[in-house]
Amino acid sequence: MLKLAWRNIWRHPRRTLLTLLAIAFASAVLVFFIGLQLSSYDATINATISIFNGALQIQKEGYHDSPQMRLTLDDSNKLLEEVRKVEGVRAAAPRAVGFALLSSGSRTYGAQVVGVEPEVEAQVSTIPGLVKRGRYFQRSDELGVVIGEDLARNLKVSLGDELTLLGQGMEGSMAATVLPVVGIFSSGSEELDRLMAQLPLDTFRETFSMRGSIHSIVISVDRVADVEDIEKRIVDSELLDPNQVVLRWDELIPGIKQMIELDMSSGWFFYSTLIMIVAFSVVNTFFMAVLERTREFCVMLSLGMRPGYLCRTVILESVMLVAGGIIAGMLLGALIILYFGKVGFSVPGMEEMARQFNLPGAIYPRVSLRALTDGPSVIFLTSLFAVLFPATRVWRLNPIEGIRQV
Amino acid sequence: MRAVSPSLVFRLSSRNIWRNPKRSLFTLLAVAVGIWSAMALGAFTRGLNQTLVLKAINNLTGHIKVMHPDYRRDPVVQNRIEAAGAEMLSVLDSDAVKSWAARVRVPGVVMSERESQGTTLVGIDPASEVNLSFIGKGVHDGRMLEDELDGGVLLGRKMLEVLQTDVGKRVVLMSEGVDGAVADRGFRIVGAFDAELEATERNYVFVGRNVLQKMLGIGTDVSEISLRVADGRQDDVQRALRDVAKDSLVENWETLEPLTVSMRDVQSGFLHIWNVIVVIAVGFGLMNTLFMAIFERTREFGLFRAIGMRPAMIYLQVVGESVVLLVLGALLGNLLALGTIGYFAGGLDLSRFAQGLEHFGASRIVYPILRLSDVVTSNATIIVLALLSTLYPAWRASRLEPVEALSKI
Repeated sequence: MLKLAWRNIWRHPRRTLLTLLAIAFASAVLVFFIGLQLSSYDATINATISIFNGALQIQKEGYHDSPQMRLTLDDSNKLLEEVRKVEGVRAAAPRAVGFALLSSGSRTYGAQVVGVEPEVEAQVSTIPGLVKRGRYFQRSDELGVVIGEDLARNLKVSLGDELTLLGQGMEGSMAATVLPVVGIFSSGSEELDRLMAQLPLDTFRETFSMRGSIHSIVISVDRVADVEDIEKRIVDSELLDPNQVVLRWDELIPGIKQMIELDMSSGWFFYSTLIMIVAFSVVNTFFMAVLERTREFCVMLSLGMRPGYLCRTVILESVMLVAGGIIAGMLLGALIILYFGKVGFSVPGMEEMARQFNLPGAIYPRVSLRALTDGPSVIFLTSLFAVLFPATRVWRLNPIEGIRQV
Repeated sequence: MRAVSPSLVFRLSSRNIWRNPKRSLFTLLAVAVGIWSAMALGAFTRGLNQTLVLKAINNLTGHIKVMHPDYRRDPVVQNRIEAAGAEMLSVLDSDAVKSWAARVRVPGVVMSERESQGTTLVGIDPASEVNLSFIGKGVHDGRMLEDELDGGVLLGRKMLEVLQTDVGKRVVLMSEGVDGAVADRGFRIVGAFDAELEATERNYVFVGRNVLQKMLGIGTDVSEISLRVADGRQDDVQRALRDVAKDSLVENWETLEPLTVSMRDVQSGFLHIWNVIVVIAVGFGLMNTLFMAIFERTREFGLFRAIGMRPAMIYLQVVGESVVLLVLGALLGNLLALGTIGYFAGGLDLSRFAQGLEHFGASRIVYPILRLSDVVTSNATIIVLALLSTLYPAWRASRLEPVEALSKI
């Protein structure tokens, strides 16, 4: 049967080749585009979580929806130690967050003020490494503030200048202090650069009357793909109080995940039209193949061959043809990905857009299993489904009439 | 010998199509899907882009803005302009300008009894915002500001939640006054507004312009004048404004919202790439069909040649066949696309992705936009490129050797 199918495929080399090319072309396009999408998602996710938010955060229940000072995590040191031991967790850092007015001599701006533990902050956030002028903190009781570049410009301050910080502390108390600017960071994210000021944790606690409390434990992980398992491990380990929750990055910043889903689903709208066009082409080819062999099939049927066998031969033929096309397409698609992985893929305007989301201007796609299989497998299934239509015609053949046909 | 007339060629072409209706149907469908996808997906992409543009314009930008040269970089009270003088008013009140508003807009802080938040304080004249920005559409709870002297404040719904306060309660607004000292004043929350983006609900609080001017101590000065122009008049108006406001910056929304513009460019760039891909796929299918059609008619073509039909006529016959297929496919594709677009004319609801859309500033509801130029380009690219793919099979057909061809079964 295999032999029969193989021979039939090459009965019309040009037709076969064209069909093969159409399938290979469509597979290659899907492999490349899906590869591009997946790589850009990875870049987006990594850039988004590594800059500040982390892959996971432990907070008091309700804090994320409505960040109020009084929703704190207490006795966090033991929890921090335990969380760091969980498999897959790379680092965990405590943070406290408040809001304050920052005044230089001439200007006043509101800012999000974050208290950080200097020794571990660099393991969960890239901001400590992005200090362009001055330096990051060294001790957690240091008296100093690190601010974003745009905030520094708006406040018209430079290194060493003093900032007056005025805000609300815990339980409505007044938070006020004067601190020198020790570092200015430039993260590329407009929001962070314009709105964020960081203080060493102990200094923050003192200023905002937080005593020993913090607002969140920020966790970075070895592999972002494993984040759900790690979350489960933390929940299962019963480290948390009932009113403490673990939030994944996609819960912390739901927009990113939805944007990815939106992009993927709109992508599939486009892909499905391409797959439909190719499927029409495949149906056409096999329709012709069956039609021109009407006589041959009829002879075989009258010799006693069962229609099911013939039908299977046609399907085997199509499997071979489609599989051949898909494999060629996967190879081609992988080559295109490898090429653009070296030189980077970009269309006009993308650089400006990427900057807004804190990403490099071009996408450097990588070959991945999903990119290679997602598109081609849909093409394979759709084509096979489409081929059923001509293949089942075998049952409707009338051997007596068919033999007389030229 | 009588030459074969073109009308005979056309008759032969169209008859051949129906020799094998299923094959022709599939090819026709492939062409139709190609055109449908180019037009319908194009219309939705344009629609999505349009929501981005409208959102940018509604979001207190307008088509054109007049402001202090340093205001964009450093939006503080010091960087302000005088209220519109007689010369500028003559431009602003001309027919080319649909509506305009002068606003005070400064960074500030809003404090309730429990929480405080950084935001932008916007002093408006409510009447002038009506056809200009989202706040002109009114409020969700409570009442709108009555006029520029109104002592109330409008907060976004999300902002109320964050501040744990409500309509009727009081908040304190703080900002830097003209003398560099902190200026503050208590306001009663008279209304809450809804915006499509949560960020907008937190980014702005609205008060009467006059009240804010007094609080900051800036007399009748404003931060910006924003305007919406009549269709096609943007460049004229921008030029006229630059003439009368020599010391100020006059920019259009394309300059003010570069992200919107680059997003639009990226999407239309991808759309073009995609259309070419679809055309290539359709081309493969068409070429295949024609090869098969020629193959089964080898004998017939041989006969035509033997009785004296010129190769050019055979060539025309094959091309003619594909033209008929293409035109029918294009018709069907256009109908399908128009049907799809018509069906979704009331808007395609993408609420499921609301937060994702918010991330790049698009609306939840997308209205497809069909432009005549898109219809023409989609149809033209597919028909022209697909015709190109038929040239080779047609050439093969016209080159057949009569004797050899006749001897084939």
